[in-house]
Amino acid sequence: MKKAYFAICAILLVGLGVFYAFSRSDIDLKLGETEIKKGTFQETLFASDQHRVAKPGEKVPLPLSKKKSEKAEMDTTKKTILFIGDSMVECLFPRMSAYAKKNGHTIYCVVWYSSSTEIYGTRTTLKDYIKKFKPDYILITLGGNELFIRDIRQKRQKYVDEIIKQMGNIPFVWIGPPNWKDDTGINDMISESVPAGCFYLSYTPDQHYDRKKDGAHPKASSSILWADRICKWIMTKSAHPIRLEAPPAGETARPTKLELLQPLR
Amino acid sequence: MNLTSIDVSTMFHNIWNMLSYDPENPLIFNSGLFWVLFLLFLPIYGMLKSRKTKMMVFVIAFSLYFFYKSSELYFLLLVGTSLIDWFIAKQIHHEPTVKMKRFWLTISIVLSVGTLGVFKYSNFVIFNLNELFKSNFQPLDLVLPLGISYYTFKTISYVVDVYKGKIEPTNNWLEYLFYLSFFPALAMGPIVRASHFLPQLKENKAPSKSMVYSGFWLVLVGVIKKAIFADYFGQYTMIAFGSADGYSGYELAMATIGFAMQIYCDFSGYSDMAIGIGRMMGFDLGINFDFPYRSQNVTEFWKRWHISLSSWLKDYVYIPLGGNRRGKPRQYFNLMATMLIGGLWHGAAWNFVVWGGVHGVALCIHKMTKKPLDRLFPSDNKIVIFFCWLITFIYASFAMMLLTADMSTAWTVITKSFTDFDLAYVVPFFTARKMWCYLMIIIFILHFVPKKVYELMSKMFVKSHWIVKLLIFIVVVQLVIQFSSEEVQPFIYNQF
Repeated sequence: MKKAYFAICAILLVGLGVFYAFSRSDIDLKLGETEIKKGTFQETLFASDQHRVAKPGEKVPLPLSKKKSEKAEMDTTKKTILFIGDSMVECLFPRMSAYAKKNGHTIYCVVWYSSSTEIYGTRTTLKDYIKKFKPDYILITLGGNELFIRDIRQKRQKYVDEIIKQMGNIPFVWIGPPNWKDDTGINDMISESVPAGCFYLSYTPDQHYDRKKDGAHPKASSSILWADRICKWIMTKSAHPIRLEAPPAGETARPTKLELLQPLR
Repeated sequence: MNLTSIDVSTMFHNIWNMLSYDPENPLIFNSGLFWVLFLLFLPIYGMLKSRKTKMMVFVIAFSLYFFYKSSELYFLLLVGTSLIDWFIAKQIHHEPTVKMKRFWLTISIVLSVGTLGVFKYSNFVIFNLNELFKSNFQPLDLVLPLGISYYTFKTISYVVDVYKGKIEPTNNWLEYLFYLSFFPALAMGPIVRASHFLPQLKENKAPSKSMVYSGFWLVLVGVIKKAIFADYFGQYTMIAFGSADGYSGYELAMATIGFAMQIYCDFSGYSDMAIGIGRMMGFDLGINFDFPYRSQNVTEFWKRWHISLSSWLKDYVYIPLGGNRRGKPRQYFNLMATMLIGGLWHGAAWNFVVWGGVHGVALCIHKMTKKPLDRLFPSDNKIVIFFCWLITFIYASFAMMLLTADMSTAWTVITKSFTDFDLAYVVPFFTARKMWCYLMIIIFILHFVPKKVYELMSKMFVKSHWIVKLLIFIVVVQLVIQFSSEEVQPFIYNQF
């Protein structure tokens, strides 16, 4: 028995040692086209709390700079708005365009169907559109396709950080997905990643949106309500308030330019 | 490697965090932390094995830490239960009159079921009272202690067996606490009976080399099932059932089959790990799953699925209710009652009760129609066998869905699977989720591989050189790492 236990311990020790050493090394291995992934041993043991990817369900304390929500003055100048994200942009842009028209803003809308933080975070699409339209205000809505991803922080935090990085110093508001069920943490993760006042939570008990047949996207009438709430929030509570006086009830409009990106296969 | 002092202090800080109480991160068998701790545990256990009392104290301490990690001080509940039922079992044994024996038995069952009821069903009762009477009772802030459903059934069976004179009570409380808290079977079973376990503990035989290695093999099989198959299937299930309205009938039917395989791989994988670890320590915990999706009827399914629970329900609910001894109508009632209790045992929600009910109905129908159907269709006909299997599999899969989906989602999935089923989705589904399809095909094949092949593989592993074992271990762990970051395509092209 003791010999067998010794052998099992040796197997575990050598095996775990190999994985630990591999996770610390800079060597990238490939088997054909497949990358040999590294475990999180290194990070689990040595990452400090500030740099550690949170465990599922773990509440991460915000950096001090993000905790303070300062009451900002409204910027009354006319803006060039880039409204970009997943198919939820399609729900919102008709009403948002009406807001832009009423308040003299220019609005460029980019709908990338079936997109996610991962898709935007691994490409320069957002950066390219910033370069193309030169916005001074960004509205982004992403997360609807990632409501039920497990271990969301481990899988998506880096992409959310990358998206925020791509927006640079341009004032932005991240519009959270209008959940139709509880998520696995995407809303928490985004709200904790952006500066205070830059995230609009679309999933609160007082927000109810009727859904289209797919059960996910809000119907046109509900999308108008949703947009109204977002615009009111941006103007009164966000970190970068801009003028968004409400157009007549139910009025919609076309954006300055609309680009539709097909889903990735 | 250059470890600075900051690295070391950070490392200790992280290790301390990992070892501290954390309900979100229990000590599960497929976690790296468990294996690091097991690496420390095993040699000490090996050294203490021949000194029984010391060994028991050590294993109990480890088991209670295992409990503490996810349930904090609630481990005291387990200690208290073991002390009370150990004492009651001895009282029952020594009482000369049946009346007094029954008195002690009643006390024990009321305490056990009552404790389970408080922790597991209080909020369910409050929720239903609020719904019924439009009242506004606030839910209680309760933590469900780790494995309470499992150890409650274990302790009930022990006291009942002592009452019936099937077993002698143990005189040593440590032995009883060891049995009840034994960490491999603590979190998710198997619900091993005292009559099977305690004699092994009394004998305290050192495990043979082949027992240790075959246990390790079983652990690796369990890890593959749980961390590769189940976790990968689970991603698609979660997404599809999370927004069932947005999916076609074909996709939902696939998600249903996927969930059936997911829950099998998850639960049987965890059981394999538990049984394997137990075997490595020299204890036989029995078998808990016997290829349930090979079943050709629901009765057979329940002889193969979660065997330790179904046999417990049979012995301690169905038979005491009268079993099949009081005529057909009573038998059907007993079956329904047993399955409803079984359903409620799985969780405090109506979907679990319905799940039990759905299986109860199927069992009754099978019992009612077995004889006439056997006369109509020859049971050795391959086509008949195939259709029996297919109907059982589809029924079991759709019933399984109730273990994860709420009632409205379940209804959407069932209705769309039968009214919106379009084979045009086959190709796009395969194109979008190739890995899911490959894994599903592999698990189906593995499910139907003859048992002899598995036994042969286990024997080969036992006999193999330790370097081969190490390589297999590394391959399994690497596969887990690879698949843990693989994601299932959530939506088919243009769907969302």
